[in-house]
Amino acid sequence: MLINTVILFIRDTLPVFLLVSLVLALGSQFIRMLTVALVCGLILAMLTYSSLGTLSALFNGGGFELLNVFALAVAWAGFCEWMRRLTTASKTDSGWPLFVLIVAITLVNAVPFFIYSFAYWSTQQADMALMVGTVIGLGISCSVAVLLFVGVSALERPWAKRAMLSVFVAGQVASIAVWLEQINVLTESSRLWNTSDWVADDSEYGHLLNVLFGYEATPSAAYVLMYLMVALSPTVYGFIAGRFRAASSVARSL
Amino acid sequence: MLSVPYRTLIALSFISLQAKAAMPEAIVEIKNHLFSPQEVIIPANKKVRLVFINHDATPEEIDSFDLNREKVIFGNSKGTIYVGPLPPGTYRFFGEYHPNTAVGVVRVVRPEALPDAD
Repeated sequence: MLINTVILFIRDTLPVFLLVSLVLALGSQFIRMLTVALVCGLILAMLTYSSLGTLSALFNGGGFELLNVFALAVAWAGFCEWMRRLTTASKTDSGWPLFVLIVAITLVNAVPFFIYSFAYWSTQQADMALMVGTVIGLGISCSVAVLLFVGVSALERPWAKRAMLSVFVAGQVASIAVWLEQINVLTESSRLWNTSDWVADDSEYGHLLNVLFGYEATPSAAYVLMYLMVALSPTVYGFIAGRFRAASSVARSL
Repeated sequence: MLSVPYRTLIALSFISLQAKAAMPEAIVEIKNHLFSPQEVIIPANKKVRLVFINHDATPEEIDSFDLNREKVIFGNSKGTIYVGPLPPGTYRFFGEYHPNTAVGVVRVVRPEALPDAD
C-alpha cells in the first residue's frame, strides 16, 4: 500500500511539479500566475471529479477520455500562443496562454489522483501507510522538480530552456493519440519500435522519462506523429502568425 | 430517390454497424479486487473490445504498459477499452489500486489457435 501510494502520487503529481519548474526556470515573473493557475486547475479538477460518474458515461463510455483530449488540446493551444508571445516583442502580456496551459495540465493530472484519494481512500481504512506514502511521494516530486529547475536554470541559452519545455508539453499532449486509440476514435497503428529491453515503461527510469519527455518503449505511429506535431507546432504557429501580422501591417499601411 | 450523400451515409452506417457487430468482445469482471477471468484469449491482428465490469464498490484503474492502456472503472459500473490489432504474445494488465491481487493477462493467439476454433 505504501509503495503503491508513492507510485500513484508521483505518477499523477510529478508532471505538474515539473511544469512549474520549467516555467520558473524561464523567468521568475510568472510566480503569481503559476500560483493562481495551479489553484484554478485544482478547483476545476475537483469540480470535474464531482461529476465524473456522469461525464465518463457519456459518448459510449468514452467521456473521460474525450475530456482529457479536450483539456490537452487546450493546453496545446495555450502553449503555442505562449511560445509565440515569448519569441515576439510583446513579452509583457504573455500571461494568459501560460495560465491556460498550467490549468489544463493540472486538470488532466489531478483528476486521477482525486479519484484515488477520495473514492478509494474514503472507503478504506486510511492507515499510516497511505499518509506516509503521500508524504514520500510529495518529497520525491519536490526533489525531482528542484533538480530540474536547477538544471534548466543553468542553461544559458533561452532557446534551450524553451526546447526543454517543448518536449515536456509534447510528451503530455501526445497522450491525445493514446486516449483516442483507447476509445476507438483512432485506429491503433503498429508499434514503430520496442526499447523495452533498454528502458521498460514500468521501470523507475521509464516512469521518469515518460513524465520528462513522454518516453514510450513501444510507441504507435499516431503517438510519434502527435508528439512531433506538438513539439514543432510553436515554430510553425509563430511563423504563420508572423506572416499574418506582417500582411496585416502592410495592408494597413496601404 | 435519395441523393448520393444520403446513400453514402446510409451505406457507411451499415458498414460501421457491421464492423461493430463483427468486432470480437471479451468481458472481464472485477470482484473482490480480482479479475475474472484472469486470462483473456483474443485473436491476433484483430481489434477487440474489452469490457470491464466492476462489481466492487470501490473504483479500479485498469493499467497495462504492454497494451498502453489506462482506464478508471468506477464502483458498480463498467468500462470499455479497445485493443489491437496485436501480434501474438502475452500482454499483462493490472489494477493500479490493487496491484497485488488484481492482475491479468491478454493472450493474443492466431485465430486458428483459439479455443473454440474448429
